[in-house]
Amino acid sequence: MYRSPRSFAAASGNAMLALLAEQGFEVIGPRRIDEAIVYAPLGTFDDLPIGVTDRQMPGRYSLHDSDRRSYFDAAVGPHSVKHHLHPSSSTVWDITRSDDGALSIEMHRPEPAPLAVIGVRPCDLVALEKQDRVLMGGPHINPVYAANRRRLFIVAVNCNHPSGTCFCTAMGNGPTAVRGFDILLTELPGDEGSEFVATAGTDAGGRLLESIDTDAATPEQLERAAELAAAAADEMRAEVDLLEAGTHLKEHLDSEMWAEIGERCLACANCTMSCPTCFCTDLIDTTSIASVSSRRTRVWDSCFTGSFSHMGPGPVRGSIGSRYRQWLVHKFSTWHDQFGESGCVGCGRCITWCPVGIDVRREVARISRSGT
Amino acid sequence: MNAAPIAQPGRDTSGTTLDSLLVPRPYHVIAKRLETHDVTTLHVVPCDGGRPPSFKPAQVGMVGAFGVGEAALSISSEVHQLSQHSYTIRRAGPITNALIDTPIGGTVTVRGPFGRPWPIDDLDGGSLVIFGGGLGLAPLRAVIHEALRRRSDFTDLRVLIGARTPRDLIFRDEYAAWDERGAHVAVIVDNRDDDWAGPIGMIPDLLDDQTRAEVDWVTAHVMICGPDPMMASVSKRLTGLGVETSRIWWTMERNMQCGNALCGHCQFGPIIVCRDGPVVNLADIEPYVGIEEL
Amino acid sequence: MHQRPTLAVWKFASCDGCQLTILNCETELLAIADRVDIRWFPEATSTMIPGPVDVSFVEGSVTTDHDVERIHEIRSQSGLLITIGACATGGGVQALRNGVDTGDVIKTVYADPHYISTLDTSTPIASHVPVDIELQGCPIDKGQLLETIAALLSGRPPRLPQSSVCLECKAAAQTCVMVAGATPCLGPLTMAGCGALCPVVGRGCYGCFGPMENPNPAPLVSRFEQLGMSHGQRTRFLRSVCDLAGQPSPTTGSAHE
Repeated sequence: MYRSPRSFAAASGNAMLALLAEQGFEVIGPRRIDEAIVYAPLGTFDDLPIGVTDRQMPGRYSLHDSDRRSYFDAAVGPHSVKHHLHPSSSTVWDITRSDDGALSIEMHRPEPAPLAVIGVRPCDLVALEKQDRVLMGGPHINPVYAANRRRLFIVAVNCNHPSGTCFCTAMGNGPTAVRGFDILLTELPGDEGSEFVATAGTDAGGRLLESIDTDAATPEQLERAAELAAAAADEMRAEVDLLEAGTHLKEHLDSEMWAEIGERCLACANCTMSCPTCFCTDLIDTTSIASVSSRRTRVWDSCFTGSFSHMGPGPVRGSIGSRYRQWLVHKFSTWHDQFGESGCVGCGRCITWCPVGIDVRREVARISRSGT
Repeated sequence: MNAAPIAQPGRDTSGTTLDSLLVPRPYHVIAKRLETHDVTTLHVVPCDGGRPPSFKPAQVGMVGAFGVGEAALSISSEVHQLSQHSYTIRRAGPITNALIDTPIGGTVTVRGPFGRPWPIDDLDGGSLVIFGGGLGLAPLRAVIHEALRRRSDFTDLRVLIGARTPRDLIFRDEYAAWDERGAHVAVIVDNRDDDWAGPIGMIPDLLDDQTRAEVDWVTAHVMICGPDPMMASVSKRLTGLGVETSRIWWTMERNMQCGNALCGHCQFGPIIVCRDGPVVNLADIEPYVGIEEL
Repeated sequence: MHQRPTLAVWKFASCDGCQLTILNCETELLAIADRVDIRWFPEATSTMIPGPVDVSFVEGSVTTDHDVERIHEIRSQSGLLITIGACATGGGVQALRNGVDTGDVIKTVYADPHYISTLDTSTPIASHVPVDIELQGCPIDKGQLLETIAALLSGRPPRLPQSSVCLECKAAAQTCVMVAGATPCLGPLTMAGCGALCPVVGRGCYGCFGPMENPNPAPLVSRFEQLGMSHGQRTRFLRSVCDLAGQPSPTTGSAHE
């Protein structure tokens, strides 16, 4: 197996995808669907959004033609790999009740087909690691997540062009990946088309690289990859260490700023839904018309809903400000207490996909600095 | 997704063990006892003929009514009652109504037990003071029985009980027996009714001059279960008496859904109640007590 | 098997679309008919059967004096009263006339206005009689209807989410039409239940499920202004099928007890 970096051109990338498909993997990767870059079935590298880049700002997302014919010039899109690991809806069990009232219980055991995801960004790799810790790292395991995780093959891509809402470096991550991939690519754009530097992260990744046409990466290629990474990190120059600042949020629970943010926040839950680490789910029991069977379904939930904290007469968190506080303090601060790390990876989706553009970078910085 | 029927709870057909705490186990309701006008104790045994799992005081079962949902309930039976469990339930909505209305012989489901128990195994003697407000006595019943069984481990055992009215007192016929077995039991109600001759007031009022003088507060361990404001007011009085917050334990209640620290609902600041509670040490949650809408 | 519960469907000022949703439950209709006794359904017959029913579904809003009398009579004959659709729960599109001169509207619309007898307002059923359950939407969602019937037959409350359409939109892996397409969308204010029907086909939500549990219109209205909507456009957008600038529905939580 290759231990040192390899390099290849797009044709070998196509061979890689074909091999994965041959081995029974469903292969998905970033594609342009309507107005956004989303994960969709990927046949060849030609299906990638060639020459397309994105502009992201708080509450704004748009795609534009790039001046280069790069394959991976757009940053993270609206959806993370979470959709494929921790699906928005999954069956937990079915219970049937016989005429004599006896209950028989059928647990659902998912057996998903192998999935290869191309173009996973470093921030989303860290997000996977955080979800691993929550959903399969404790004494109890979410069986759907665990099954989906086991079948996953990841071809990650380092970021050359962070978007305007990216802040992975302020969270101590990115823009290059260090672990959690089977294969890691760095795209080196060029007039003759892009070349890729590829590193194997697992035996499976190494075997796949051995099966396609590659060369040993040259010192010049490696140097260029390092320069691109440094330039990308430079683009995200953060004024505040949000990883550190975030830990202090739990010391500011009495701040008046929460109510002020509550006036600007829609409580629509888009931030939590688009967050790659938000894991909260609701358990819903339904019955058939005949009332003889009952199904439990696990669905995405959000701390922005009233039912989320419902107890006795109503929600514990009634005001929008208190719900925003729960989301932000949990993500940046109490996640450390619960799981030993921050819950944020700096992907910026909650900023871009907030319909009214609330920017967690700004809110974390100013609340953690406030006097209360 | 494929549905794999399982032969018995805790096993899937491929032979690997399924996390048994994720799988509901059917139980028959074998007896019901009306505690108050809106509180009923269900006595349940597994339908499969086996024993219920062992548990520690205050641990929680997710008790399910077919098609309606599950409620998180502390087991109210004694830990040495091996053949059956009991749950003491107040009517608070569709799920608890369905559970209470399950007929004798009817079936409910249980997952668990979950959570951190009262730390009775870890106490270094001294006095043990237990406060139960209203239905809060239910998660304390097992630890009271356990303390009585180990009575000689403690220099003093106090059980201080409060309720809105005498009609709201649960396990009322057991108080005399607890007292006989060596617990000082005191009871107070907010509002009297006709046959009440005892004291009237709030639970902290049970800390009268005599009690304050009799208990060795420096060595005291305190367990409190009741509504949040009651636990806060009792704790405030106790810290005033010199009890360290690290010697005071509460039970927290939040919207517990999965019981497995996987769904995120039951957070209270840094605490995930189903994992880090329901019993929590006051020193661990002190900065978060009293913060509105947390 | 005990006696099947009796059910009636009543129509007030409405387009019948919600009643059609009941008829559209094709595969489930047989199972429903097996479990309930449908006593009255104006899509099928026009005679009114006297006597009480266990459950009444009410479509449409109250727009005439006769409607007012009729809804009180129906309430008194019904065990549970469930309103179905935006007309019954919010007054419907016909509530656009509320606050303007009804006489002018009638003259504009009808050639022979003297035939028209109407109240000045179109009001939801709950403004006149107590309502037990409200199914939102224009029309209602078939899934929510079936869930409600299944729940009643099982003796449990139906699961009707009170959160925003955005949860369903993101769960469906839909790209936000407002953030990515600059299309004004009322999803962040509107109660879920439709499965993000309009955003999924690239359109903005127009709020037919009414306000969510805790809507906060002001920031979204500012956003619409940034997207180039005039004051008049914004007002009309928020008050088309349901009044999203008005009072939210009361919270009915589920879950923990």
